[in-house]
Amino acid sequence: MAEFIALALLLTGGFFFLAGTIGLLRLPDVYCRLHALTKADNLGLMLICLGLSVHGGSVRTALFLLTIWLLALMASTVSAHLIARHSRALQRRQGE
Amino acid sequence: MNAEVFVLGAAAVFGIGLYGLLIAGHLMRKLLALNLMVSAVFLLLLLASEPIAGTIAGQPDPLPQALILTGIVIAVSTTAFALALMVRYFARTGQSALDPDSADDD
Amino acid sequence: MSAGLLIDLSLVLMLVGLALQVVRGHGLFRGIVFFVAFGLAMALAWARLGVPDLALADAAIGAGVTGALMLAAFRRLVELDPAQARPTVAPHSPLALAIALLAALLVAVIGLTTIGLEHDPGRAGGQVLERLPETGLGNPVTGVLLVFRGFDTLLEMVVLLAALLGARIVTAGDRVPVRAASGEVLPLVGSLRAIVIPLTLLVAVHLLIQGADDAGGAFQAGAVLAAAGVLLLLSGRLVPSERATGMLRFALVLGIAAFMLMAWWPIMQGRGLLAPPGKGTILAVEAAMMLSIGLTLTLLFSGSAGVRAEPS
Repeated sequence: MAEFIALALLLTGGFFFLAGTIGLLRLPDVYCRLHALTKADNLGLMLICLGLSVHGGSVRTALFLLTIWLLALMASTVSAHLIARHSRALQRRQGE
Repeated sequence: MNAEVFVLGAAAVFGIGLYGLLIAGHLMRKLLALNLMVSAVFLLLLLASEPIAGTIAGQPDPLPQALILTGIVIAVSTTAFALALMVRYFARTGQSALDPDSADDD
Repeated sequence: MSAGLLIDLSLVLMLVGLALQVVRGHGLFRGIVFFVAFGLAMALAWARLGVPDLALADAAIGAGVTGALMLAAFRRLVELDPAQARPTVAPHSPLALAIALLAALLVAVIGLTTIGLEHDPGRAGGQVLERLPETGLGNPVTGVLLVFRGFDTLLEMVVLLAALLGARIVTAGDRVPVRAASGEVLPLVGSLRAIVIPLTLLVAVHLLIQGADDAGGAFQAGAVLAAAGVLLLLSGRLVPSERATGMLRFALVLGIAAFMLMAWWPIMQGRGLLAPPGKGTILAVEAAMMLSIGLTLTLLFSGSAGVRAEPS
């Protein structure tokens, strides 16, 4: 039963990653792509971490995975902010 | 069964790296291609020691692992030095390729 | 078609696809980014092959540090000549393609032959596993690195230091500006730094201690330390400086010195060179190595003689 839940979580997480990647490839500009990447990918990561925690079975593994997810979240937040900021500055410079 | 898949993959990456090394004019591209070849060789080194699911007392052979680890560190050292040389060369001469005729251009 | 085969096929296809993207034209930056992705895919391959030490090492050093170094060099190139950033078209060459195909074929033949060979059960790897309890360690790879083939590891540390010295010799007296941070104060980065740096140090020490019995070790821990160094440099908390302080130089050679001490001490006691020391000694030497490796890699990234702290 637990394996089934884990599998479902992992597959859903994978689906979100797929959605994020399609967004990366198909959306028109930097800001839209950032949306796709940060939102879909982080949600996908959370689902994958949940699935792995269920599969792993121990509290220690679950805590490790939670920490990994939080760190990835922080990193992608700041990176997205920096990319958007840089992109804006670039656009402003080119607009002059 | 599965080791063959990895061997073919490693061979393909080696070939791709070699191709990249030969056609690239820019030195940094050559470095990237060289690093690809290095990774492929490491993969082969591990595969040659033992198929997946190693059999010495149920553990993978530790000796190639240590050698490859050393190799990774050496590769990064060499790459770092090569990058410094490349930047210096570029700063000094304004050329990004060793042979100006073969530099990539649009 | 078993699930394992499917996974391996997908992994190999991903590796080959990423390698192709690295080599194609369309700009240096793209090539570097795809190379980092390739390094991470290699880490997955190592994990799939059951060697977590290598997965950690390739992710941290092969993808992370190498990628950072390449991006730093790319940045310097662009500062010298902005045209470097533009996409280029790589020339086609049927001769190169033929050579590459032949090489790939040769490598495939070699690989397929060697995996089919009979393995000698008494070979060195087996002996390592048998004699591992002598070292007091649980991780055979660490045992090989620090004890059984310690000489190789010592020289590896020297190579790393030599690369730094070589890079310094080549760039000293250069007019290439080393400007790590943009100078703006970004509050988000400051808070990220405040959370991430202590965690990074924790992870590095954890990898070091865990490496004695499980996956991990001094090199992976050193690379994680270097990651912290890179973050500090990029956010402006550490600033490249033109002079290396005595403390810095001491830290750079500490790893090699500690290792040599561990190697020579048994001689003075009457045992042989590099006779197995205790686990505590090994961990202490690995800690020194971690410091030196982290510092060396950080200095390779900054391209300067030293770094100094800039009060935020």
